[in-house]
Amino acid sequence: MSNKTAIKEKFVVPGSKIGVIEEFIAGQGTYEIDGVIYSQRIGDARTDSKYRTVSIRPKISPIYPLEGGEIIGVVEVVQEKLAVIKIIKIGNSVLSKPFTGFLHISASSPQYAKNMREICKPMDRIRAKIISTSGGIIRLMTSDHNLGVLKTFCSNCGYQLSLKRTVLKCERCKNIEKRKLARD
Amino acid sequence: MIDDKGLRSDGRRPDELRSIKLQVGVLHNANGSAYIEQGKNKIIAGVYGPREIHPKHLIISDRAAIRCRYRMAPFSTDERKHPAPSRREIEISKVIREALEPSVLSEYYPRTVIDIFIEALQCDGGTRCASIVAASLALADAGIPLKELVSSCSVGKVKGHVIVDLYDLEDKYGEADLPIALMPNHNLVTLIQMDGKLSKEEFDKAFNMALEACRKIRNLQNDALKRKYKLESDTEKPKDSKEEVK
Repeated sequence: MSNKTAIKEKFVVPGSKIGVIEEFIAGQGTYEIDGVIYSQRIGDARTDSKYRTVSIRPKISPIYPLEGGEIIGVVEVVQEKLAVIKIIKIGNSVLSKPFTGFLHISASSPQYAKNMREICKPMDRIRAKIISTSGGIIRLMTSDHNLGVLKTFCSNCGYQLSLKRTVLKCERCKNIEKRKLARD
Repeated sequence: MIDDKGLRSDGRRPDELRSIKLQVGVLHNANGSAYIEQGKNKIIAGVYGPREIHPKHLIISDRAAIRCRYRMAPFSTDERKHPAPSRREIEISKVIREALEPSVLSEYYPRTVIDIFIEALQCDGGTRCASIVAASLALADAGIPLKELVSSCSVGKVKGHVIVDLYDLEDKYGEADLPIALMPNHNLVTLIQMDGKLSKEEFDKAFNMALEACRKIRNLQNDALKRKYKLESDTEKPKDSKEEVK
């Protein structure tokens, strides 16, 4: 049997009955009560009669930080070993109200960093990846090459820092600073 | 209030619902929204979230908190209503939240909040039931996982007759009022309140009438969601997904 004929799609709303556990293994977007499989979301129920699975392809999902997702944030607080990041964008979706994430020094850079202030400082725009959301606490990492600070400001005068070869230099007060920059 | 033919003062049969219009996705800035017109009731519900909770002491570590605010517009009643939240509005907000909570699978979003805002633009009795219907649709429209949509309807007694879906006059001058919310597929009652007195037989009859009415409303809810999402998936956006159903 080919895959095309094995998969069937049907529009469902929350609470729609989509099968029984003797027929299918309940997959994503479904739940089971007393052997009956129901839908949790609005979407298309995909029943695969070859592998005997059923899952929902949702029409709409809330914008919520998920493990492995990339975010853009603003550094809010920097402590010695930890930075608090205000997440303003998840993937391509801009949030109307930000989430708060945490960046620990151990996940901030591929090299050894003694202090979090070598990685980022308050007000920096940062690109990071979500490594965990367990317990609703969002843990971030910037140790990959494409992750890190995107835009940063001078700690002396607040002017935007610009990259001169390998160092960040303030055009106004000539201050030189260090950050973990994203490659681009 | 009931004539010789057994019809009510607005011409309905005892087991007849008011005409219901449901529309999903009416607010641009909300994550999910719905609008209900039930007779002269006009109610709009918006859902925001899951989003970060403030103040932080309201955090629930293993699931999302649900906050609900029901509000009547000052122009929603015959006599101007003071815009400040009244005791009644605070109570209705609480009962709506408690009616919706069992249907929301909030454990997917720990330490966050789901905010539900309900604005009653025009009131003519049975607004808590209509609000539950609209809020449940708005939750589904926001993409929040639900066990099932919650349907709700009121039943009551007027001049010894058990009637369904009471409007303002019947509510005021009737002998009993019994708002019920339930998840029809699972047969779970999420809200039941009672004003006045009903005998055991009357209660059983009223309860069965409410179940039947909730099932009808549940079908209308399904249709409203299908109208929005099926049309959206057909690439053409609906010009007006409103439909009147009696």
